[in-house]
Amino acid sequence: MWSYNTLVVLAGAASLGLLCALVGTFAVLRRQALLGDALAHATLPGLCLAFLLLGVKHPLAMPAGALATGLLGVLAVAALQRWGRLRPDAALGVVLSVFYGAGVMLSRVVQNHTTAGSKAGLERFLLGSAAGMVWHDVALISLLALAVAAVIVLGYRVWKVMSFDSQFALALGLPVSWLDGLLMALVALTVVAGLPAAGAVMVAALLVLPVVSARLWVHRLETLVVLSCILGVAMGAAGVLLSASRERLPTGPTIVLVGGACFAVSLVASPQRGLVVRLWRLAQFRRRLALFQLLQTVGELQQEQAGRAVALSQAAARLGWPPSRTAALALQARLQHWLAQPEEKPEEKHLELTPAGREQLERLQQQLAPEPGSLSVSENAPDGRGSAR
Amino acid sequence: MLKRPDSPQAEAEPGRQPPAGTGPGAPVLDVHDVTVAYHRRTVLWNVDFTLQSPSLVAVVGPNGAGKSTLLKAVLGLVPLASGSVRFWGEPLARCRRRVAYVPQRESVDWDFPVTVRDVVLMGTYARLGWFRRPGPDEHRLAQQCMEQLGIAHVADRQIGQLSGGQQQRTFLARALAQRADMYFMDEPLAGVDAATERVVFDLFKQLHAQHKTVVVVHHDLRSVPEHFEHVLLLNTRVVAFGPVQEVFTPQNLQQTYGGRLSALEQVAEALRRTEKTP
Repeated sequence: MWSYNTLVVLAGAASLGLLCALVGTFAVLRRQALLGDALAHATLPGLCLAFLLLGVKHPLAMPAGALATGLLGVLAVAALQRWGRLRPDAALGVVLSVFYGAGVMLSRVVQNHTTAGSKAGLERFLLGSAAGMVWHDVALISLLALAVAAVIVLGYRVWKVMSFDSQFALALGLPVSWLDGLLMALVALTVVAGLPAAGAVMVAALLVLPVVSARLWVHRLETLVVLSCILGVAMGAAGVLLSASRERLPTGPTIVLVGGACFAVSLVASPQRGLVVRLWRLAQFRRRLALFQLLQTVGELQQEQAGRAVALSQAAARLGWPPSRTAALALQARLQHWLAQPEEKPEEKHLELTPAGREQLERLQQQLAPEPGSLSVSENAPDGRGSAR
Repeated sequence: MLKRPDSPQAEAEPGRQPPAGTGPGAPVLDVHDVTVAYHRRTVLWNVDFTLQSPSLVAVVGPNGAGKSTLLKAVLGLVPLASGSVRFWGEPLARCRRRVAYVPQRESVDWDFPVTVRDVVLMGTYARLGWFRRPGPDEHRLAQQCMEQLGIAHVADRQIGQLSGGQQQRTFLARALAQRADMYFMDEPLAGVDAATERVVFDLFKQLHAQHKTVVVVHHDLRSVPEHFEHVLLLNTRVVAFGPVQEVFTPQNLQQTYGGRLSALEQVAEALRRTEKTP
């Protein structure tokens, strides 16, 4: 049912996903995610220049041109930070927009000066078209993926230490700036290899989406690398199949949207860091805090009026809560037998703390309120020591 | 500038050092005329001091005095505009494994996907060689170091789930796993709880008992007399360096801190303490 052509494209997209995930994991951990984006946009002028100079889509000149201006863009980012006194985000913003603008201008020049037949291929580099992949594209991407995997597996501990703590790595004698350069070169090669399939605008997203999705599910580097590779392959393959099946959707955007969906699902559903779990935990915490305050207030009021039961309205007034909220929490506490309603006062709801309620109050206090000495800064420390550098 | 005699023969057996105060061995640490500049601002100016034998050294000074930069300069992490540093009479490149560094806690991303055990094992990487996996010996060593610092029960937690004190202990355990002879620590007591503070001071004492040298950037002047042997008063230049009893004086401190009120209060407190424990 699947033709040879489909299989080639599928293999290409899957190995591109793998390559991007491998390189992207370390790029993201090293906080260089946006640099991939700037680099991808900066490849455009190079592509157009190569095409203008040669007049044809030369299979080597196009990637070479892309690599050249891409690296020029990365160097420009570094130079702007060092000598232009720009912060990283501003430097990336400047380079990304200026290079991309130059690329779009040049592509218009190409359109005006060349025949329709040969210019059509340029658009492919903007948005990507995996359908046009042939087997030697796939071979190139696979070889690159293998090489990158070898570099990462062989030097695994080097990459781990230097991406976690570069100061410590330097102190151990690792050549951190060379390693950063190598990582950047790998990002550049990956972006250029992915250009024809995913397009300049989208390829950088493939570096980021697998790793940020995977990070939501795992908390160790080993499992993170493996899971992002799996997700990268899956995103690539699913994107290609989707874009091929429905009236020729552009492949790059399709892959990125699949990746975005994968990230959204992870963000919502992850068992440790997902939104659902976090909102649930927050709600639980707030409920426990409110119960604690209610039990404490009832206890205090009871003591003030010599042990007599406390009217619900009285507790609500002391807490500053609306009566409905107070009543709802009081009901919860009564169901747990922490509060009880004495029989002799049926006209308005009255409450008193049960022995179980007192125990619960102490338990909650231990859970919610920091014990003195365990969390606070030691007594003989000067104030504001955290800010001292 | 004085030419210092190089004495590579003084250390017949690398990995060992003469016990405190004996022998004509080269000084443990010799920082010679170190100057560091960032852009056009001088951060350290002609910093020059020599530590003859293993000791506990506190580096104190106001914010921006260059304390962290001094550690980085000594460890070769920032370029020196001038000067040189020698460890046991040798350049750093020849004895890197005997020197451990504990960076400031804020210098890393604590959301990084590693567990406490992973981080502590990093201390064994350099000695192991970069291409060999940590074996049972390394795991045992890491376990020991975690137990010594009281973090063995959180060994498999992701480091972002630790308290500030536990994060600091993780960094210290990693340094301990390096089995170094000299430790440089950047604010290991910043923002930690009282229990961690006790653990860290105990660690200093143990390391000192094993004839190791510990150089600590410290900000709590009041604990200096009790826990350190030597003190380096730094404010871009060295204001004073020497044994705490001799150098930790109100005059020197006032000179270091420029007579700022809060610093002077600390000085008064520190002096009261030293009088109590002569």
